[in-house]
Amino acid sequence: MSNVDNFVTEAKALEAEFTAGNLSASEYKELLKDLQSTKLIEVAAGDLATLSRLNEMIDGLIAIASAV
Amino acid sequence: MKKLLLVALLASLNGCVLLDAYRMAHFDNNEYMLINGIRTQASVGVAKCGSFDVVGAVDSIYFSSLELKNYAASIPHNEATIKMTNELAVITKELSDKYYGTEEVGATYCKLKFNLIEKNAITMQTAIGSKPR
Repeated sequence: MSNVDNFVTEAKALEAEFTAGNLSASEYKELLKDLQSTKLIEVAAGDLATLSRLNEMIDGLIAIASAV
Repeated sequence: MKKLLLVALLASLNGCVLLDAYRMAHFDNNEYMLINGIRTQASVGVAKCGSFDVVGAVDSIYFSSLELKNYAASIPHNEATIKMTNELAVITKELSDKYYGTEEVGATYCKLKFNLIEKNAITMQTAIGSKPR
């Protein structure tokens, strides 16, 4: 399932809770905004993971160059 | 030959990304410990939703989230972690504000909020844990 699909599924689940009367309007609005924050966290976590892999690669290349 | 390979590989990468990766903040035990604490508090806190004890869990998770945000903010070349901790601090502040506001807080909201904090904390813990040693 893609990130967009996840986002839509989670938003629909919140809408269902709101429609059922389990969430107030302000709670529903806040939780929808939190989905946006969650997306930003996932993007930043992905960036961090990419940089970490790249850093390991650079370390490997430096080790190879040092051995020559 | 190896040096040629090294130059070819480095030339194929964007210079800024390469520099960011080379200088990035390394794994920090305290950062990892703080995000692990938040994750654990969220998993414990969700069980307290609907009881009076939940206010203590809310206070605790908001404090820890702010603590992590402040700790990460002063570490050089730590931009991605700073972004994540800022967002998590907003989420936990909203939870705290709700409990200290005038509106009654529903148990469903409380559970969804703690579950969301735990989900984000797991994402962050995985990313922070993968930082280079």
